[in-house]
Amino acid sequence: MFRLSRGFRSLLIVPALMAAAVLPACGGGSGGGDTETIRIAVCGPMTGSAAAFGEMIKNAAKLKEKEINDAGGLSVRGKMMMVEAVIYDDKGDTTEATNVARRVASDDSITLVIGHFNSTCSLAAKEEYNEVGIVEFSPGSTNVAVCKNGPYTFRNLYSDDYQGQQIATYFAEIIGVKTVAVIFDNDDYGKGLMQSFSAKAKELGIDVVATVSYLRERTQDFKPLVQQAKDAGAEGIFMAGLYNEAALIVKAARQDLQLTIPLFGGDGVMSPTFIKNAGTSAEGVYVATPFLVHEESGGELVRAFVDAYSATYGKDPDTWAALTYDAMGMALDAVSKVGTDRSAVRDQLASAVDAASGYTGVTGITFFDEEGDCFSKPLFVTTVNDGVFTPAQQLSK
Amino acid sequence: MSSLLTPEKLVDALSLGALYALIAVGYTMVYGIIRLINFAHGEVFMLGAFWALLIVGMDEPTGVNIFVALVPSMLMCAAVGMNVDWTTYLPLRRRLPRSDALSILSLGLLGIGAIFYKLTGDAAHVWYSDGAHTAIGWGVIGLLPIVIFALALGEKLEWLGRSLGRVASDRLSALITAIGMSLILQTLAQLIWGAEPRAFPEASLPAFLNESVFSIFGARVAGKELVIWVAAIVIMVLLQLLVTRTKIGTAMRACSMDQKTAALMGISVDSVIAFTFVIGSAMAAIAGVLYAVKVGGSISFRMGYYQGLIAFAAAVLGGIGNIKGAMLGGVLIGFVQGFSGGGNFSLPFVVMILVLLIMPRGILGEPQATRA
Repeated sequence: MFRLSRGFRSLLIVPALMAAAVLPACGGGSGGGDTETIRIAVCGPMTGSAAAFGEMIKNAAKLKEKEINDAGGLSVRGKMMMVEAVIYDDKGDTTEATNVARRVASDDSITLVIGHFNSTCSLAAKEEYNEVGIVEFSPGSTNVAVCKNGPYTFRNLYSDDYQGQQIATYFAEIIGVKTVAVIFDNDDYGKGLMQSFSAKAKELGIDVVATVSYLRERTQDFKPLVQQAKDAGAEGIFMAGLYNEAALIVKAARQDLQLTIPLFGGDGVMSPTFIKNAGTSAEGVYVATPFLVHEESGGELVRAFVDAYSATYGKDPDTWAALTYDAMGMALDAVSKVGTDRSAVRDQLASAVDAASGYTGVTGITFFDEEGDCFSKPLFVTTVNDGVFTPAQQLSK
Repeated sequence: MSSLLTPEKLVDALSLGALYALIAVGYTMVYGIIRLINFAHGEVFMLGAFWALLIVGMDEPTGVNIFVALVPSMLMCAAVGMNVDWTTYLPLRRRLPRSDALSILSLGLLGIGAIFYKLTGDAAHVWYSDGAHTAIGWGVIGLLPIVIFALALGEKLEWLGRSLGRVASDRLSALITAIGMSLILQTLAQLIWGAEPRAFPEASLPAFLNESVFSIFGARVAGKELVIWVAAIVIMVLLQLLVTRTKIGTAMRACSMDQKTAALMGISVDSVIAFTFVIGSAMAAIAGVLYAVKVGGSISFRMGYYQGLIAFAAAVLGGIGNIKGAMLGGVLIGFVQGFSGGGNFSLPFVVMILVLLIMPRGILGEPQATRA
């Protein structure tokens, strides 16, 4: 008689275990494809080292969804339809972003994509979206190349060449320093920002004395990096990266090296988590942002959004929540005019070319150039004051 | 770089060296006794920082001083270290019938891998695709067929079973298990606390940690640097006394020379091994907390992985199995890191390889063949 060896018998558990692991994944997938619902993919770093952004993005998208559904739905050419924001997590990682893009693009029930957030992710996912023909509308990616050569890729905020130039101008005109060091995240966002900043700084007569790079999620000890900036004789430091690393940089500068020179963070630093992690070292740090949710940046739309957001989530929204809320609003506006056809939505969005045809939201008026880039919004400079981002002196324009 | 050697870098190098020495000793003590590279050691270092963070307050500061939190953190890490040994390495040491040990191992790894993949990759949206981790993951998967092959055929093909089985059941399976344990602890930490790096709240850090204490050649030495140096020196002296002057230390040395003979002399080998894990883990906890204090945060599930590897390099460089060697290796690697400006991730390993080319057993490595 055939008899399995003991060892081999126990091996049979392997397929059983694997089946057990896979089975639950098969359920729950149904329920899509409902023609009465507009499904919008919201893709961002829901987990990982940029998760604070992801949370804001998710919350804002869900808030828009709730507001529209509570009002009875969206009128799409006379027919009322419900809205569903489907959240996807790209973990701030290019491989994941590509995977998400493939899943989303091949899911016919999805009309368009709000996302991705990290420039690196938007760039990685772009090819898939443009090949299949689905709108990729980013509320956060600022790398210069994001919208280039992608008819389906849009964003509702400035790009890094503009941001870098404005920050360099700020260093020259308002802070008034002659030498600056740049500490940058070695990804598409940080590198792009560092390059545009350095070019403009040179033009304005500022000497970029050191450019130091780090690897997000790998580099843990930032003191040696700040030390390099100090040794090079920098009178100011520009941090082209995200909030977690910026918190460590300002701590190393203020506490370890006792530097009192001005520190300036790109808009990736614009998160309350930066202030929480950096503590008192965050005081006085300048941070750029496309928009600031603050009582002074007033306006009816802003107040209504802040009230609705904090009533729903028990905390205040930030810049990225406002931009996501606007992106959702603009996209749904387009859908209500042309329906859920992917390319019709793209054409409708692309038809917003000036203030009159643009979308007026919380963050101002959004309209696009022929690339899908948004140049209608200025850069805003904030500074941390008593643990809160507050408006700083602005560049005159 | 114009200033390769500056007093500031010396201060930094000394602190890093002290911390790496604290971790490296944990690797080397375990290796010295059971000839196992305990890859989960880096994760114990990470957990040390997390336990302390839980006590001083993860979201809202509880007002507990970090040095008070250090004690429970050490105890918790000691418990984790001991449990890692009891639950995973001990069953392998006990020499269960080969196929049983191996099937437990391979099934365990596969099952846990499948469950975590399920939990993290799909539903719980917390998998990470960090290149290095993925590589290790594939490495583990790649080694599995060898283990399974040995297991399935071990009884049928005597010659293959003997050659493959012997390798697989002793060192190799323990090593794979250690890597698996490291991944499990990392993933657990990520599932529980998320992926975002955190920092100790300022309220938990006594003011003197960031104040200047004195200066060396004009370089400022902050309170925290001094704490690290003093802690490392005191702990190293105590450890040396423990190993050379106490009964349990003598037992540890006996086990490291020859476990069988030590057992025949009435030493409870498993208890001695457990004690070794306890000491090493408590030291890793101290290193984890002090490291997070030094860099101002960076407490995340990732923090132990790279630091653990560096400390491992330090232990090998100093001569693995030799406690003084680990201390020396730690300080050396700390200097390499400190003076290279910190941005270079491969330099410590390059130095390790260079040293091993000249001294294959490390700087203070013992001559081989103390065991058959």
